[in-house]
Amino acid sequence: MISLRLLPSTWPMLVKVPLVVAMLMSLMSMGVSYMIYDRMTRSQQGALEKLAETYLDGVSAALMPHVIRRDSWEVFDTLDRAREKYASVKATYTVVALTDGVILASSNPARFPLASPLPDQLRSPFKDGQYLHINAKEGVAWVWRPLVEADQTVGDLFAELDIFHILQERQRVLFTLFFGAFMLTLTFVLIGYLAVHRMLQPLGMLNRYVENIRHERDEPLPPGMLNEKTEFGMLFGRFDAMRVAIRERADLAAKLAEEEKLALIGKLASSMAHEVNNPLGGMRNAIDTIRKHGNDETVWTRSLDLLERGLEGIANVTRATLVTYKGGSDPEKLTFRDMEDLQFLVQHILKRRNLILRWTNTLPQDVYVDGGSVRQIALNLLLNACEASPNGAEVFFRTSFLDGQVNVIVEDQGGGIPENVKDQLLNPSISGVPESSFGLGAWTVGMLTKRLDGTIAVETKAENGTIVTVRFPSRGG
Amino acid sequence: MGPRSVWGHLFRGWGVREVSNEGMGRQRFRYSRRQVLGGAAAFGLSAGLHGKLALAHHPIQFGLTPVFLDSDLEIMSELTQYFSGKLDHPVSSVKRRTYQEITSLLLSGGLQAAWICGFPYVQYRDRLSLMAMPLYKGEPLYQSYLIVNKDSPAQNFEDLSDQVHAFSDPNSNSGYLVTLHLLAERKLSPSGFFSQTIFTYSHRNVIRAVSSGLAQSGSVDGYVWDVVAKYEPELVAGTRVIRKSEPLGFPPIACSKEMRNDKYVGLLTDALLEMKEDPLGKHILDTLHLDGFVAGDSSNYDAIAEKMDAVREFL
Repeated sequence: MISLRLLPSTWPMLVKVPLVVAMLMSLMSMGVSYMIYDRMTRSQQGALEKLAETYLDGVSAALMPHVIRRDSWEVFDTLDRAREKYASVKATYTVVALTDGVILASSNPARFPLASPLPDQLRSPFKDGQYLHINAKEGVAWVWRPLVEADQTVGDLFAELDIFHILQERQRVLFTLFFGAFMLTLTFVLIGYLAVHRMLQPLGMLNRYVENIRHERDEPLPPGMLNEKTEFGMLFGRFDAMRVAIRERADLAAKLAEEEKLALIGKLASSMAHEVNNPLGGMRNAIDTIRKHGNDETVWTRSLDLLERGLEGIANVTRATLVTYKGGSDPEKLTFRDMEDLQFLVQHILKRRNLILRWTNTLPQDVYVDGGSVRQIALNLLLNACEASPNGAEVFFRTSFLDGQVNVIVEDQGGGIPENVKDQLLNPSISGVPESSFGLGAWTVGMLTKRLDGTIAVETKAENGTIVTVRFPSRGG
Repeated sequence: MGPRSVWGHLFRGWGVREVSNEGMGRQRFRYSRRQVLGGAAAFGLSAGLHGKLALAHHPIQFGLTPVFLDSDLEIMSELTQYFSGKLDHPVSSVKRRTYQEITSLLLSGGLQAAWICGFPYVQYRDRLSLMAMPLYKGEPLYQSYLIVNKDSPAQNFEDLSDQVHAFSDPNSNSGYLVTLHLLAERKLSPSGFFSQTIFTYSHRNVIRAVSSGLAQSGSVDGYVWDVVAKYEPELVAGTRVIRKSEPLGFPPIACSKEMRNDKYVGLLTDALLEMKEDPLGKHILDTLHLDGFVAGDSSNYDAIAEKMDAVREFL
């Protein structure tokens, strides 16, 4: 479940759209920030170069005669005064070295003493011939100017400029840019979230109505939502039309299922008449026998037994028919007896086709499922199996209750189930009501099983015959 | 300027014999000496004659060596204002970078009077006339200080060997001659004792050089050090005095002997001696932390002359 949520395609639109806004805004602000920062860096570098140039020009011009005379004091004095004059340059030190690499004077004699060798670290940054080097890590810029008079180099001027404030300004601008961009992005994301939330509200409602339909709750849309001028209004209009169509089909399907039951009863009625008629003949003979030989106690007793069995057979058939037609003793449950009674409803076809019914019923006394529907399914399957079986064949019916499920297995030795009927059984749809009564039985079984959240499996045997297994979950109880 | 040329510079100023290892030709020295003595004397005579004729129309030129503060423009302005008032004649002040320039101008008649140092005075005592001596702490005397950087571990003069030493001016008594005399007593030359010497041409600059660490030690006018300590305590805070010389004649105000009887030079001398009586003069003296001026006597500079002779003898 967690991995499913991590998958971006499973995220709701309410998250996706603000995220896309955030990404686009971040990309844009990063691009703009980079351009501004780059431009500012170049501008600062240019300004720094000009400042260093001005400083070096001024100082070197003032220094030149003193360097030529190698006057340490005057060089120091010039550098010392330059520190105040060029205060804006913020030179941390300035060093004048002679061509032999000896320091003539520096603005910081304690660090760079008179007549000491020039530290290599001062000269090394300029080996590439550049006059300006920026060391951002230490917040300083190193500058170098050879002191040339009449094409003769008389010395070198090195200086370190404190550019921490410049770099700090850069950092401040960078921070402002990124912070501004972040806040702007956050604002847009929030606006995006609210806008999408508002825009998706109708979809949320639609979702609720779709769920209603899925759970067979028919709730009409409020008329205010069916505004044809808006996209969602049009969508709701179409959805409402679809809802009405689905309701009509569902009504039709219910009606058809009812009719199918009546048709089934009708078919049963003739067989029942036959079932009732058979004992009636025997019973009439028994009555005649009693009339003729009523004094013979043996005949009397045998005739009464015959009458009793005949009446019992009639009672069984009528009760089973009543149960099928009107529903069981309790529609919320299926009883062992209710299932047992189904045998009486197929007696006529068993006899007519000379079939042998192998009946196994291991159901407990009460199982909490829709008893009427399960009986209708079992009877349908049993009748179809008998119809499909050749004369003298065996029909197997097994019903059991295992792991909270009611299992109904019907097996025949017929020529197999046609593909279209099998399809009606496995994938029944409201829109696909079959026209033939045979297909209608299979379709009814499929629809009822689906309604009861049951499953159907159809297995064609290697030798002749088909096994249909239907399972229904019990509601407990 | 290296130590060798400093020596040459000193000799040119003195007109004394040259040290054989200084690398300067005798011919060159002679030329230099003639230039200073002969040329300057001739120019001085001519200028002096012209000066007398021209004084009635031109301002009196009063020379100042960079004895004290660098930023002494205000003092110079007040001095000229004071003198002009006293003389009832325009007086302008003249300042040069080195003592030698002021001394040469004074000897050549380019200046009618100048506040010079005791060392040039004794060098040209035969040609200069003492007009007045400043009184510092009630005496016409001052001292030379040997200073070191505040972080230096040096305790005495010997500890300064192999260091960079800052002098004030090759013609300064306190900023050069006194230390030179200390070395001469030990039979040493500056280049033999110090690793390097520099001239800063101002006592305040000596303090700056030592305070900044450019030089580890320096020879400085004790009076200037004391006054700078009052005006710029943060500057002298970077230095520490390790030796004070004996009291010596305070830098005098002098004129060339030819000008001694000039009316304006006489008035200038009177103005100096009466300075403490005048409000503006008193203000100037207070600013300079001086008590006034006295006529003084040439013998006050005998001690400096002795040092000069001792150095000359050693060299």
